Amino acid sequence: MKARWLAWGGLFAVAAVAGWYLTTWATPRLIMKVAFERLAERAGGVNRMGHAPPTSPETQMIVRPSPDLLYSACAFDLTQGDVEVRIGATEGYWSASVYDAATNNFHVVSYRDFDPATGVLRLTRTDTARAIRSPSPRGVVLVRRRMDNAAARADALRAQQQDTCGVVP
Amino acid sequence: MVKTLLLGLLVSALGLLTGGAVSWWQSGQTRDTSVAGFWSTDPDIGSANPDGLLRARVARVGLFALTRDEAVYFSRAADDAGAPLDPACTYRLSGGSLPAGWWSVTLYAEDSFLARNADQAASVNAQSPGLNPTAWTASIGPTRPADGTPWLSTRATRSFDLTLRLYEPEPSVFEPGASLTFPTLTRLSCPGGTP
Repeated sequence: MKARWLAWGGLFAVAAVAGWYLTTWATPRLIMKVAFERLAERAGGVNRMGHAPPTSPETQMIVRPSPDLLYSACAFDLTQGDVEVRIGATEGYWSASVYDAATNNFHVVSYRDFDPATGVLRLTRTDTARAIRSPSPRGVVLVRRRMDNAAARADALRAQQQDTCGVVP
Repeated sequence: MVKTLLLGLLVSALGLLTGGAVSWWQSGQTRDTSVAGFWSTDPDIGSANPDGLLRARVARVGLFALTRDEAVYFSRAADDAGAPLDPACTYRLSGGSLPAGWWSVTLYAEDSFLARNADQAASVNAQSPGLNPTAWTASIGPTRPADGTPWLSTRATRSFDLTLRLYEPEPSVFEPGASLTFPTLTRLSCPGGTP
């Protein structure tokens, strides 16, 4: 009888550990999947840049949005080929963060280290010196621009329209 | 035999659910660390390459957060006397130069969204009209100050908290034992006249 209870207890413990690992693994991926689909829907599809309006009580979509920043986002899918992201230049702060399907921020470029002469971020699945290798076929590029005063706001809104995302032909 | 098999499936399902529930509960816990007075920060938000439970937690509480090289976040939900922030009261937020390229303080309602009012007074920063970046004061409350002091409106909130963002923080922010001078928050008045 005791051995029987021990067996059931052991089975429960093994299943609980498996459940813990499975949930811990799946949580960021499911959250990213939902975010990916929402961003793609808002941009009109994958591998397209969505230009979010300035953050306000009417336009806010995520918790604790920053009214200091103007966002563009591209939900990319590299199964269709390499993806190129073009970023419009501004005088002040901007950055582009690249996230994989598990929410890892695997690459960041900003106005401090980006070559404005090229203005292009190329994402790929293969190892090459000319592009950034993404750990997963799908992910998100999030471009942020400073807009905490009237001049920066006008500059950011102008540059935002130059942000593009698309599969390399 | 069938009964044993069914019981095995039931125990396995209970185990999976229990393990999943524990993981979900753990990843929803905040790890705010007090840094100065009632300002606190979560050192995991924006950390590089989290894995396992930390990654799950960051996905839930700080998805798409900037890396800590780009921005550091601090929050508070109490005044300098330790009292919870009350949207009916008026407060004075005061500070000086902050060790960052630029900064802002934003007010969030009880649901962590911007207050749903039309005051256009959700955030103040070094560029706000009327704000002296080296010795600044902002008013927080339900009424716009008549003297033009930068304002954070508490209208249309049941409770609120503040987030200080340091964008492009200076290296000194990350030095062990760094003592930053954070903005102070003083309650000035409340309905009924009690300070």
